[in-house]
Amino acid sequence: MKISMVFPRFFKWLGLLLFLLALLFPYPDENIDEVNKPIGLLIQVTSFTGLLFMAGSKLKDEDEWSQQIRLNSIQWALLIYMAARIGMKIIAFSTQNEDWLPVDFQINMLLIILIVLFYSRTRLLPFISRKKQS
Amino acid sequence: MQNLLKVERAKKEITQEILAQAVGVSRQTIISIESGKYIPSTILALKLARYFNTSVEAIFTLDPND
Repeated sequence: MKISMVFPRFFKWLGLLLFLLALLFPYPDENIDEVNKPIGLLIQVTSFTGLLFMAGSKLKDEDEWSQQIRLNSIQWALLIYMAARIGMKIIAFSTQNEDWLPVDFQINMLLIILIVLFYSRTRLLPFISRKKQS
Repeated sequence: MQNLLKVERAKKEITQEILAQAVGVSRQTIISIESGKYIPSTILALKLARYFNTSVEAIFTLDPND
């Protein structure tokens, strides 16, 4: 089966490095989503790219099973993300607090959920299952 | 879908790792197929059948719920 839509394996570590780098930037007090804030652009582009690289990098043994888990994780991540977004929107409306609607965190949240789901199902769960068997 | 992959593997006395390498997938894929958690693609099912020198239907059978 032809494997597509994945970055080379080392992109996982490159992505982690970029994401950690984004966390090290001094976070400005003002809204970083405004287009005239270069630090906002730098933080967002670095963190989005880092998470995208982590979410889309090839596993050691990438095959049709991991591709299926990847697709299934994307479906679940989108579902969980939308449920969380709806919840946050309702909380923001009921509390009249705009802090519940950060634009930069929205995309990060989707990718973080995807990464957690994908790696827990391809790495953590098989590891636990192997430990139980032995 | 049910399968007799574990039985076929036992008959041939090979490990999951060897089978995985022979058909070009990860060991986890073989584990998932054997436990019924993953239904392989037609290509992989044909490769497995060819490896065991049998037909796909001899390894994979439809479940009453399918």
